[in-house]
Amino acid sequence: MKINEMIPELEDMLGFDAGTISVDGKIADIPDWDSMAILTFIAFVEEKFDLVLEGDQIAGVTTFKELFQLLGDKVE
Amino acid sequence: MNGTMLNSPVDHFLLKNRRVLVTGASSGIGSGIAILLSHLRANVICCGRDEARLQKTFDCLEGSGHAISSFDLMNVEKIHPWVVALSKQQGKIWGIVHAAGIQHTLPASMITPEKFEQVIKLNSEAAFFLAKTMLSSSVRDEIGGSIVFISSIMSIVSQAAISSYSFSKAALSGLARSLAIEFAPKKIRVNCISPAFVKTPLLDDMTKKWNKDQIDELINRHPLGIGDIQDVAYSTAFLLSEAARWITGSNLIVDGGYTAL
Repeated sequence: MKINEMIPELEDMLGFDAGTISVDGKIADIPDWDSMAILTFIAFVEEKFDLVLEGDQIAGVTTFKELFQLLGDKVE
Repeated sequence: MNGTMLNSPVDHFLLKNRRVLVTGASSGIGSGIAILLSHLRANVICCGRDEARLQKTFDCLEGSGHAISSFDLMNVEKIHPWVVALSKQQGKIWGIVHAAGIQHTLPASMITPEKFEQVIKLNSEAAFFLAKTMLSSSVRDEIGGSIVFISSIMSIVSQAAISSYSFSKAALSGLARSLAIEFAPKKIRVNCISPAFVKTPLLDDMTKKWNKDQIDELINRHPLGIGDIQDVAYSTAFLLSEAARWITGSNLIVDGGYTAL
């Protein structure tokens, strides 16, 4: 799946306004990116790609680019 | 009260010759309960979907007179004929423990009607239709019976992203109260146990999505530490036994102090 197609779906699931998430953006710049957002992201990825991410994998990530790299070849 | 002759106070805690159907017996709390009940001399019918895993529980049972029955409780409309057939094969059923359950850690935005229904069906609906089978004279033991639903403290307190699970478990305590009144004339008691977090595969599955801080916080929420499967099994055995003969419609909280904090 293309990242640019995935981001709007993810934003919708998170209840974020369109354009909130950008590949080059920093996670810390989004105040609503909290523990619930992380859980939602994990559930989204599991449902969409059948890929189970663990909380600790996400804990050290600071940018969305790094976050989406966790999805490996599931996104391009 | 039960008219069976019991020789000593200790006998009231035993389950001699009591046939008990345990759902979710292939792993976790259900498996632990099945094993403990066998040590207390019950005849245990282990129910689960996976026969190979049920066999592992069965191999750990103490004594004889036990059985395995592979059944998918999601087929709620087939529960009655299944239990009737079981009682014909194995003999009248005195007790039911509904330990089977599923839990999705999902934010509300990710819950679809299908996922919600799946949780309710196994955790709550199956409990009701299992209990209902005890109304049938071809199923229940004429001396009475005891039913225990394994609920959760997430029916009393809760946390984010487990709404369908909390809902389904809260339903069990209401179910137990109403059925306790309805079934009392038949000398069948109905109770719930609400455990906090216990070391099970279900907990492992849930916490692998958490980070270290969240896991530490969970542990610190239990003054007595995270529970063991046996902690739930002991309480279940008590509620099933004649020692609890005056307890019905209750919800026993077994939580290592979680809700005391």
